[in-house]
Amino acid sequence: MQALSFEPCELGPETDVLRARIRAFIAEHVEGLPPELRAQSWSAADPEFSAKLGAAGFIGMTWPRHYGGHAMSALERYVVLEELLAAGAPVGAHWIADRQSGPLLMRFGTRAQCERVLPPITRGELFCCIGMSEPDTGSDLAGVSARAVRSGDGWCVNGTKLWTSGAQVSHYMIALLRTSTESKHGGLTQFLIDMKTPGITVRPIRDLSGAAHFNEVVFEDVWLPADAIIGKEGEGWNQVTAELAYERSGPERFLSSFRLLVELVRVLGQNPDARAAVAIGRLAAHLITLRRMSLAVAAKLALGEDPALEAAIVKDLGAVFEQEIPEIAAALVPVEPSLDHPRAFERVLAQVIMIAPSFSLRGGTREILRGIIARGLGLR
Amino acid sequence: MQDDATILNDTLDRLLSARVTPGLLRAAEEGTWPGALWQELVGLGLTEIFRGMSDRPWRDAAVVMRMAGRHALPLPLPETILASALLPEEEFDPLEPIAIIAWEEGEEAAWPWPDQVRRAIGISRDGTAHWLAREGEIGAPARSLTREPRHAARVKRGFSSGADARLLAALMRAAQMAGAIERVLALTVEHARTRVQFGKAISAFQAVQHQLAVLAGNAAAAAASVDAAFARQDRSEMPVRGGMAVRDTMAERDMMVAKIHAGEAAGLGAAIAHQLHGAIGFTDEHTLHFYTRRLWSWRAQFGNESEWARELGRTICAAGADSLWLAIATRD
Repeated sequence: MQALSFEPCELGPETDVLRARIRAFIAEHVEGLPPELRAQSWSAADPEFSAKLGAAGFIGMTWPRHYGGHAMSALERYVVLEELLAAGAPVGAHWIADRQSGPLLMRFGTRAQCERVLPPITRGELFCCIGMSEPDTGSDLAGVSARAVRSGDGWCVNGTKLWTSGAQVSHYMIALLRTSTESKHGGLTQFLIDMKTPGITVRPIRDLSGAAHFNEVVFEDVWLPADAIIGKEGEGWNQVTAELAYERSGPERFLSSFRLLVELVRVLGQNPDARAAVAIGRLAAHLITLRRMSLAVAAKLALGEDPALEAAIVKDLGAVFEQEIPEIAAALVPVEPSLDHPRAFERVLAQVIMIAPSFSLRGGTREILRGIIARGLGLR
Repeated sequence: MQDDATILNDTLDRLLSARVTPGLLRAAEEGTWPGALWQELVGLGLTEIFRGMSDRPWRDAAVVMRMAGRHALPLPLPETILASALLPEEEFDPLEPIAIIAWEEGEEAAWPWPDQVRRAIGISRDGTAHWLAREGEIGAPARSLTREPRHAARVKRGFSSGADARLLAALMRAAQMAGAIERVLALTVEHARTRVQFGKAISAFQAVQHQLAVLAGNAAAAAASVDAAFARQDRSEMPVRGGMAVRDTMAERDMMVAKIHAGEAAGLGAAIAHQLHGAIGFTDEHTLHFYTRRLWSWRAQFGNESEWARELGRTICAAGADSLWLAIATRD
């Protein structure tokens, strides 16, 4: 049984200044947005907002200055992220590039790839998507079948990626492709693909809320130069799994329905009955603890450790919490959720109820996460 | 965890593994005071944590309280340690076991180990701590689910303090619960890996794996919330000894959070552990109940999770929706 640890982590006093800065930015650019848009938070892409955020120095915060970054600590970045998410800022356009693609390129990519892609990411002008799932490959990711075959001095790609969030606004995709059929895990390679390359078709897929955040991306004889490879040929699986702790432990894994909690407290008023007070106190306790656990993982990542198991626990507990909020809100306030109601609560409730099923699907399903935790316990 | 706390943790784990056997637990539940073990623990200086050299006495106290929970220690060691933090110097004798009990003015007390424990801190519902001595004959049994020997008793009240000692007692129970939940998790993992059905260990079934993953996640949340509340006690500048005249609202918040989480994890964890152990775990012969009975009991003591959630919820709602995030996003 692997030992779990979530050491208490204190944020330094220097983060107060930064928190004040991002709160001022939020007051100017977020607080006037409609509550139902804020409820979508990091699902909502707004390239203009991302450009303003980049100009203010809040993207690529931990990256080195020569790539346009601001050489700040992971915990300073955490403060900015949690403030943006709690406010429901529309951070979706640059979210993946900032969280995952940039760090991946710095770890495994070439200097030329970094120089090309990272500076415009930090300006909030260049967005990335992640091509992992396929029509027949979801949780069983190593079954990827979209192929890259050597062609001249480059590669020729054919196949389909599915559920690719933000592909319609992204400039680059980081794709996991099959370069060999001899080994299931060892035949995968990551590529940096310019989305303007001929042969790529992006088809937005409308979800049940009516929005189209994710997409089908079809590759038909797409030619990539040799330097599109990220890292080493055949190392794609190891590189992808190295990203997961970053992807699974951040504040976006427990703040997705925070705006509904805010509107719920507003509707309950300052003197709620005992039942409502118990429910709010319990949710607040869970939120405080999830944030502590998430911060503890962030601190470990900053030290270069790989807390993949702890990250899976944060995401699993976080998704349960995010999905409980609409249940509890609906139980305490007996109204019909409505997209057009004059009061914000009904609109935010409607929005969150519809997107809540995705919380335990995206970024690793509940079943996959619990399997990872079970492995950590020595059960498999 | 820093080195000295790790050493304390590991030393105590080894010692209690050797001493707190099922035989000792059963004898204690039938009324035999494990006096030799009390002497040994006192001899290690464990009741003097708050008078020693440690710069983080609350962290050390948390280690002992968790270990006491992990081993279902049938002695009022956590209580005596907390009493040493609450009582004025001159009232405290490190050799003397002290109980911490729920008590209301004018009522009889439910007094644990009445032959060995002479004095207790009685905590009333409003949070006041009363320094109590037992008087007269021992009354009728009043056992809890822990089966700790406990009897009705008349008391003589000494001084009282206006301190909110109830939250500190709740935090002590939260630490014990975090320890007991860890033990319940370990027992259940071990059982799942060794119990064979349908030709394989039941740990091979996803339905079993996922239940254990839920238990592990909630155990981790309980432990994290307990650690954070104790860490804040060490940072808090508010004096505890002799009564907390000034309130530290952040420390209060974190203690409530710890009791809420530990209580929830106790209920959920005990249920999952019993489900996965099957009928054998429901028997008196098996050891699982030493921990689960304590979890059910501790969960209810010094405010259950609904009581503290109501308190926390009222504070949050009173501050208003637009202050909610400010209450969450603190630096520590």
